[in-house]
Amino acid sequence: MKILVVDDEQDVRRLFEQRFRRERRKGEIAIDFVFSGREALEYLRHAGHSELSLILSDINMPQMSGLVLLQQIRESYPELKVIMLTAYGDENNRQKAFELGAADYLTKPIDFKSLKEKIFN
Amino acid sequence: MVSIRLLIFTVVCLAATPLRANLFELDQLSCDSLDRLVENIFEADLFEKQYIRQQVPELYRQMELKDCAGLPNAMNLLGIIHFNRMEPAAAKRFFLRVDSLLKISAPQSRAYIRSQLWLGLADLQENRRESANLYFDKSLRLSEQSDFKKGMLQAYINMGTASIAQGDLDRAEKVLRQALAINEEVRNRLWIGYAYLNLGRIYTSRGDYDKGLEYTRQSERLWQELQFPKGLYYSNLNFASINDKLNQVDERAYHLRKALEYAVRDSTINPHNTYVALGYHYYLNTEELEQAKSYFGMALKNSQTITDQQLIDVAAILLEIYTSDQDIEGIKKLNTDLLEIYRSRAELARIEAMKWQSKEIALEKQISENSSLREKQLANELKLQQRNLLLLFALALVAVFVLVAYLQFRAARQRRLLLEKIQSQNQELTRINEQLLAQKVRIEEQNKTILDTQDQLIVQEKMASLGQLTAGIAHEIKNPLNFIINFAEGSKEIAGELLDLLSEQAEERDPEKMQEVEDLARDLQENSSDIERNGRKVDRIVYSMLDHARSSKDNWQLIDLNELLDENANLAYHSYRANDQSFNVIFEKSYDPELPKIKALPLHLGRVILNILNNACYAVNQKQKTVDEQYQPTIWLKTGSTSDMVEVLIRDNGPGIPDDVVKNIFTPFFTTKPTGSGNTGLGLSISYDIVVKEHQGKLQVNTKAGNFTEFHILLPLKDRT
Repeated sequence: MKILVVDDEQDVRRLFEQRFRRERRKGEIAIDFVFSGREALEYLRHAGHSELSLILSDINMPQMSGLVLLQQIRESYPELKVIMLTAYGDENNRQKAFELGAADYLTKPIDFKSLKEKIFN
Repeated sequence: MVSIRLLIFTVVCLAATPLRANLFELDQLSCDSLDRLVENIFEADLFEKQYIRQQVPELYRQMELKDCAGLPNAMNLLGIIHFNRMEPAAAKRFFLRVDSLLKISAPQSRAYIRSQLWLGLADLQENRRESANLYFDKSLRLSEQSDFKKGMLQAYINMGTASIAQGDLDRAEKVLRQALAINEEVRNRLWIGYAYLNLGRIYTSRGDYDKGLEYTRQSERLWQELQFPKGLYYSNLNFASINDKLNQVDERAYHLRKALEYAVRDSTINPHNTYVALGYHYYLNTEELEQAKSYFGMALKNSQTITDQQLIDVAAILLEIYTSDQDIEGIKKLNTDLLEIYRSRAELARIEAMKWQSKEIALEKQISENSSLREKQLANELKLQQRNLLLLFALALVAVFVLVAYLQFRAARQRRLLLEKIQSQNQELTRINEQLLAQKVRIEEQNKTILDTQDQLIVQEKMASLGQLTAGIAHEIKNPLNFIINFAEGSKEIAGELLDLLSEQAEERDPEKMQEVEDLARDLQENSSDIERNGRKVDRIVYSMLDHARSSKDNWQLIDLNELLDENANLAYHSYRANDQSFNVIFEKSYDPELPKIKALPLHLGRVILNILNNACYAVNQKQKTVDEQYQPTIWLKTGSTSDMVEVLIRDNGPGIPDDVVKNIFTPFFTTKPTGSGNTGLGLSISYDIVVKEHQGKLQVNTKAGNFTEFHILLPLKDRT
């Protein structure tokens, strides 16, 4: 299974690699990282999206917000699942994310236990 | 007999005063405004103004109708009106009512102190100096206790007046100087004028006429600034008495005339004696008989409150002048005047006068004989002897009595017509003054509204800027914090895995070193837990700050306080329980189903209620930890309303708030909770601002250490925009 994480914070990479180490070592999951909405769209165009099972995207990013990215992904790749991650659990963004077709909406700090459940079920 | 007539005369006069005050719309004013109006009348000494006096009965009636708090003050005003009419007994009835109303409940209130001051003055009017002094001592003591400077000022001045009446000039001077000292602070021109006037009298009686003049001039200057005719009347009489001592005959006459100019401007002044004094001046000193006649004539016209003996004295001297002047017309006129006076006196004692009718016929005959005799004497003799004068005067009086019976009904009608005319003119003149006063009250109210709005804006701005600040900081903190928490969590897991790995290979290693590695890994695991736990604590604080930032924008809307209270009670309970599973509390709810909706800011008010409830939960939880199992943590929620307020009551049976803490609870950043509990110390200070400044309500706390704490949120019902 392959997932893509979109976040402007570089530390996210180490965090995810550490927390999914066991699953990665067993070959249950592969994680790719991009650091802006634009890179994410580029990734989808070039690296392809067929083997991608899930995208995890931050909302508050410079230039292109996660919600704009979500909208564009839903338009071009409607079968792709997108889970939104955000530091602010405010009601407006949550509602907007679901309206745009997000699969889920999670707040930071990330509860990895429940994230793993969501990914593997 | 005379006093009964005077009393009836007074009652009739009272009935004739305009009780309907349509020009001031007093019935439109709220109790608040009426109370303030009465207080203003006292503060500005407006009860000395004619147009205010006319309004007082209606003012009192309205306040009685609406059961206003300031009613005792209005009673004092009624008393003062009687006092000014020289009716001390009637005045005292009102002051004593104030006395009995406030003696127990509010002995330091201004209304009560005023009643004592005026009771003393009324006693002075009745020559009861001992009792007057007791009242003045008492009012001085009460004024000092409640720091009511003007009350102290009046008390000293009144003591001065009493001491002069007792002939104790040294004491009088001492207390008047104390009045002057207090006046440095209060600067009351009307009352301190009396202090100077009386100092003037004291020095005059001691023979120090220069000082007497100087002080009297001071009083004159102050009262001229105030346009206070009664005071200026007294000042000029003081001057005249100094002139008298110095034998300055013309100056004395000048000041007496000046005094009369002021006397005609205030209906409560009775200038009879001044007219008599001037009459004697022109008769004896300058022999200007026309002037003397005119002043004695005026004395007769102003004889309403004088005794019959005084009246007869004036009539006798006039008769003497007319006779020596051979002025038959004058004697006739005197006769008519006396007749007029006695008619008006007798008219008011109508019932009594009726008795005289039976004697009418017998007297009529006697009169016709006597008057022809009198005319003959006048024609034949050039100079009348004293005996003849007295006889003539007696005849005149008899004529008066008879005619009274004839004329009383017709004259009553005329008098009523005249009174009505004067009243309508009076009303016309006072209308403008009243409108100005009403305008003043309105401007004061507008001013208060502006100040209230200003307060409200300040709170909103404070809330908004606090919101922006916290939002800015919180966003910056939130991102790194998320990593701290997630990485700490990760390290915890890693350390766990490390321990698992170590235990799997335990046999292959040196057990001593193995133990050390295990200890290190365990420490690592514990440290990570600590980092995570503390990180989450910071996260909660940031969350609540962001929450507050979001609620700083709020809109006025009609809200149901029962709902708001209930929602927040649930919220407080669940959020508290989320942190402490063992926590439990019973909510005793008693909501008023008829509670009117009010215009309010729901998010802000919700914050207030939540703050208080969080504190209540914290309080009962703390107490439960320290006392036995019998203790049942309980929070009472109650709503209710009065005519102008709605009330929310939140009470807990927690440990209460100690005295030294309760005075600080509304201070920003003050807190008694341990640091790190996610508490900023801003909760109650913001709550206070929201309730008091923003909603113009009241936030009160009532607590007993070890027992309970009770918060009252009182919000005004009036519609706000």
